[in-house]
Amino acid sequence: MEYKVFVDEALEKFKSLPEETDELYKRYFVAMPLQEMADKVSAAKAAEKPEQIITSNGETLRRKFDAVFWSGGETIGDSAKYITVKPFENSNLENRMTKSGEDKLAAFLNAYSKKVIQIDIPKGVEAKLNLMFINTTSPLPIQIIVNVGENASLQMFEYYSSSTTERSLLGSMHEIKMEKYASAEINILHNEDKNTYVVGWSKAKIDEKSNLKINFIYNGGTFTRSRNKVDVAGFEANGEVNELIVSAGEQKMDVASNIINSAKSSHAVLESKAVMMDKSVCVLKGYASITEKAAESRSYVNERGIIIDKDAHIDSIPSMSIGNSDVKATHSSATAPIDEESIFYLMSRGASELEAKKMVVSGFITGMIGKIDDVIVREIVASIINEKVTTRNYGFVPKITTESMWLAGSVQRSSSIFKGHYKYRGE
Amino acid sequence: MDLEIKNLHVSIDDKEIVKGVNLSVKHGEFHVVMGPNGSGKSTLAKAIMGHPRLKVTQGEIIVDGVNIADLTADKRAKLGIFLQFQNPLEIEGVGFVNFLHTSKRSVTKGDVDVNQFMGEVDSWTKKLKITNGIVGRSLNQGFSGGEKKKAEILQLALLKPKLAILDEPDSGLDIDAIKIVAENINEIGEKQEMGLVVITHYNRILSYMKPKFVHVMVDGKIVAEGSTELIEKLEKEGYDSFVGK
Repeated sequence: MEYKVFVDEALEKFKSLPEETDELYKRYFVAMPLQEMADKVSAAKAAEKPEQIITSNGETLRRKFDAVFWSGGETIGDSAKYITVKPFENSNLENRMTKSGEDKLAAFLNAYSKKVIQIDIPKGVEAKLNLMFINTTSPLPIQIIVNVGENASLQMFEYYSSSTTERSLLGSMHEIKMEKYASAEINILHNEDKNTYVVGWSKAKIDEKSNLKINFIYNGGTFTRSRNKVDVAGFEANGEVNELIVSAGEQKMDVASNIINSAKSSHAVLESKAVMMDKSVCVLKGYASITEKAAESRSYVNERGIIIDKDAHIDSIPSMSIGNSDVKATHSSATAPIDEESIFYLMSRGASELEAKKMVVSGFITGMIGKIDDVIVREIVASIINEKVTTRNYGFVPKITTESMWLAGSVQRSSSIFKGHYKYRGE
Repeated sequence: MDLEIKNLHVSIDDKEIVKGVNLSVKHGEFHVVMGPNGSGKSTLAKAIMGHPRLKVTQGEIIVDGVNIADLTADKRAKLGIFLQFQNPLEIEGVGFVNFLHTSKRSVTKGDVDVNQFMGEVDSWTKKLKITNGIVGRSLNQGFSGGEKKKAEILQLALLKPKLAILDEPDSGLDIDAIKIVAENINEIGEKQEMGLVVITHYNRILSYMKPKFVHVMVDGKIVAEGSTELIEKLEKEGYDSFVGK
């Protein structure tokens, strides 16, 4: 497909989507050199040495990875018995997505995908998986299909890194299906380098009385464009999407997520926090929709931003569509510059300006980090963010230490969010 | 630590608030600054601590012979200056104990024995009757007005500065709490041989304390100085008799 035709079609499509109502996306979207990057697919370099990267990162991260994927191949350990890598033609994902026209950019990535990572957690099984993705100079479109069977549970960590010498594209696509009484926590950490453009697309469907929590941490990549849709489709099912965005330099983050209550007594939560530094830009859109069938359901969208440097910019746009009157639904948004008085207060107790800012940022995000149940992942995320706030660099793994992070903050569960939020109504 | 303020003029957004203050606080001395609302007392306190929005347009703040007017607040804290805030800031997610520990490490410029430090925290928390404790709580978040003031005094006790400026340690406190706070300030000040500058509107807290010098500040200037008899005069005549001097 011609690049221009592709962009025009995509923009036309996005105009009709409820979460794509402004022009900001258009501005940044068009800036992506997709065709240039797509051209590199056929010119993938053989000189990549993923083993070195794996060893280095794996050791530093203090986390044994069950499977590592890079542009040229993959290594799947014995522990990864629930993972299979299939040739792309065996999947019908592309057809479904292209036909539905849900996401043209996802379709674009599909067109260049070679493999599909299939993760099936059988009925009643508890599984933990750690996946690493390394984006090298050639594009790395990744498709992950996750099925968590009835009564099964999954805790999964996906670490996205890169090792590039020139501009490259990383595409991360998920299709997640939660069967009855299943539970899953999926932690997705993006820590790509400055050459990498990140395109994320996730879609999840949650069946009766099952729970899904996805924690997205957007830390790396020069440009990130992510679209996430979680359909809480079963009776008394719970869906929780947490997004933590830490942006520095000239990074651009365009993150839009859609939570849907489509069943009775379903609970959906979307919480986003953005830390904006230097000249970075973030467009943060949270869209909640409650269908007619979703009586007695609850939906909550909360977006918050903190601006560290005056040239940073955030557009925070929460919205809701409510199709049933017997629901509890709230959305909120708040963004502010870092409080000068707070910095002075902390400095008056001996902290340098940088230390004071780090403390305020840590305090701001500690609740979000606390939502990650996997303790090691929590440490990794905290350390990477701490390093970024200190040096404004990203795309590498610093020494993992939580010494300077404030992780003692309370871990807020969705149930407590609702409890607090509705107390003014006498609950 | 000796503090010498000479002809200090301080502005905020080009509006002059402090208009030529002279003040000398020698090592271990106890001073009180009183004055009506808006007289510039808090601005003076923040200027001594180095608030970045305040501009020293004229004069000097000399500590042990060195002008510190260009130092940032953290460097002044490391010299041994402490400011108790009139309205302590609430900072989301920053654990109080972690904050105290980091502050202690910053001002002492070295490692702090955690067990010993926690013992001190526990001891002072009890002395100050902070009944809900501070462990597991975010910095000043969800604290009552009284708890915030007591938490400031707790920091004073743990950080052990050489000179403490206490900006209205009594405001918002009930009568029992005023006594507790005053007695603890006395104990800390005496133990540490700390210079103290207490800013207040009222003489109630001073009935539990023994300041040596009293200064009255009106419209950005020190208009009267003396010993505790000045407090009695203020009690009888109010600030009106000092306005326009």
